[in-house]
Amino acid sequence: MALNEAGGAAVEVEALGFHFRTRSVFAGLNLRLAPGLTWLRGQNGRGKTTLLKLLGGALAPSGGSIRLDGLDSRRDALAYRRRTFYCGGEAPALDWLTAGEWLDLHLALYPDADRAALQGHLAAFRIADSALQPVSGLSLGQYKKLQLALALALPVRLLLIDEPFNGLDAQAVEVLQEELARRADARDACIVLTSHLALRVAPTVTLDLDAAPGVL
Amino acid sequence: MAHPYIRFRIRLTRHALTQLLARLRGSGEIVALALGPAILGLLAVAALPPMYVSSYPAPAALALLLLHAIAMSLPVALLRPRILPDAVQGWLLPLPVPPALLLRASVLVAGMLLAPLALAYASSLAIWLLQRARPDWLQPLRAAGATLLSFLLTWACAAWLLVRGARLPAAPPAHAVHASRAVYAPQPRQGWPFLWRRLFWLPLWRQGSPAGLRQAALLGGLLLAVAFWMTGPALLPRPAGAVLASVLLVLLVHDADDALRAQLARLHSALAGLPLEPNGLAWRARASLLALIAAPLLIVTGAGLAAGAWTHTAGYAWLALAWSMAPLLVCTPPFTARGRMALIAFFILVLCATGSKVWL
Repeated sequence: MALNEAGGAAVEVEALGFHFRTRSVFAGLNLRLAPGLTWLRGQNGRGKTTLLKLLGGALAPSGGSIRLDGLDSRRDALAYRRRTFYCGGEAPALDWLTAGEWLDLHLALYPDADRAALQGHLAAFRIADSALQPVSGLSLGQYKKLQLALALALPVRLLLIDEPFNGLDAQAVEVLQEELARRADARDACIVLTSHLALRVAPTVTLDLDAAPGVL
Repeated sequence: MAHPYIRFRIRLTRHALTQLLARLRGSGEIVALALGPAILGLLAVAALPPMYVSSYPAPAALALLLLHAIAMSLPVALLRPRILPDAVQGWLLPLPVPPALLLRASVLVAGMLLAPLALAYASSLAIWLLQRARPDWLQPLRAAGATLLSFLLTWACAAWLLVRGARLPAAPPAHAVHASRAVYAPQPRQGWPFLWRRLFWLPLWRQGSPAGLRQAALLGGLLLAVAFWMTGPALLPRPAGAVLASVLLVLLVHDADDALRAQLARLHSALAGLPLEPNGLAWRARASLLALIAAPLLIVTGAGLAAGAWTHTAGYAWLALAWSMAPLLVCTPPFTARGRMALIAFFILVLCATGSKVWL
């Protein structure tokens, strides 16, 4: 499946295989993602979150390869991960930290992050004053905003956002849509997001896993 | 037929106890081999405190029995997070459980947890009352009554602790809520100490983790035991100080290493996808732990030098063993629970044996 609409592909997935203990998810999936906004669609259980985690380096493929700007997700794992960020909607990881400590830790791992932009995004999402709150004490929406504010400030080439609008209030949805629209137009990085709701931002590409060969 | 809530609490308790027993099973033989006589001795004197207290005048005896009951119910407080995990409690809290039902369930669960104590008291009582040459202070009826009363008080304390633990936690005070609002300002770029503090140090102290306090208590106990060992006061003979210091040193290293291994396992999934190399992180964390453990070892070595402890073979052997034990425990793979316990028991026995010979 070729999805290259704007110059060379940034992400190349070849013959991707992945299996959980109880079922297989992908066998021989091929993808090429170019900079811009990719809307990943599919029924529940098709493997959208799994694909995002594989692309983010949080899961290891059982077969095939994933390359980002020529870097292999397994062979060049560290360099690959510095260029990606997976923004998941699950229960907070590193839940013993406060929101401020959580952000500082990520800034230490992504040294080129735009700190001023981070503060701007926190303010835009109205969570700039939550620095001392434990991450485990944030609501679903607050944690999502924290992740998004960080994700939007990181200098990554591949940004993976799982259900970005879940739990967000109306004002935050507006902020996020504006930011996504701006980045989709700029096309300087790949943004892959999953959403069951229709996007108000025009995606560069829509990828339907229900119809994709290699998705089991 | 018991209420479904009571059946559920009992099933939870059984599950927690089964898990605990499964953990202990791997190391049971080694503990029995190394500490068998000591455990048998403890079993024999389990009921000694209430029996002895029964020879006191009634008001003093009652006060002491109550204190003893509170102390004996503390293990139930430590077990509470296992028998009513936070996730289950979060689900149970909104349910309309009447206070009487909660009390009945807590009394039954406390009874299950205290059953081994009841057996230990019964054995100890039998050992003391059936012997021919009883001590003068031992009056069988009063001793048996005091032991029974002590057990009932312990049961009541344990049930109260379980009822308290199952209730809605108190809301934080208003000033704490205001203090928790602060605008985020990014920290300047920092290196390994920054990462280590956030990934390995803070988890020891937060979210109700007992690991930090436990290790601080072990460290404090170790330094105190070393002070006793090196100064040799009349209160505690030097060999006893050596045994205490050796045991606490091994337990401190074991506990710190155990906490590190657990945290590394926790981080394995939490950091997946982030730009950190897991093996490098693990080895740097182990090196940092060894550097921290070196601090109390340096204090012991310095105190021993000042006291003239390291002047002959036993002293040299103790020092060499103490310094080699930490890297061996921290850097070897976990093997099995039994293998790990064997290694710990070996170090405790050898350090105790050589340490108690240092001043002879």
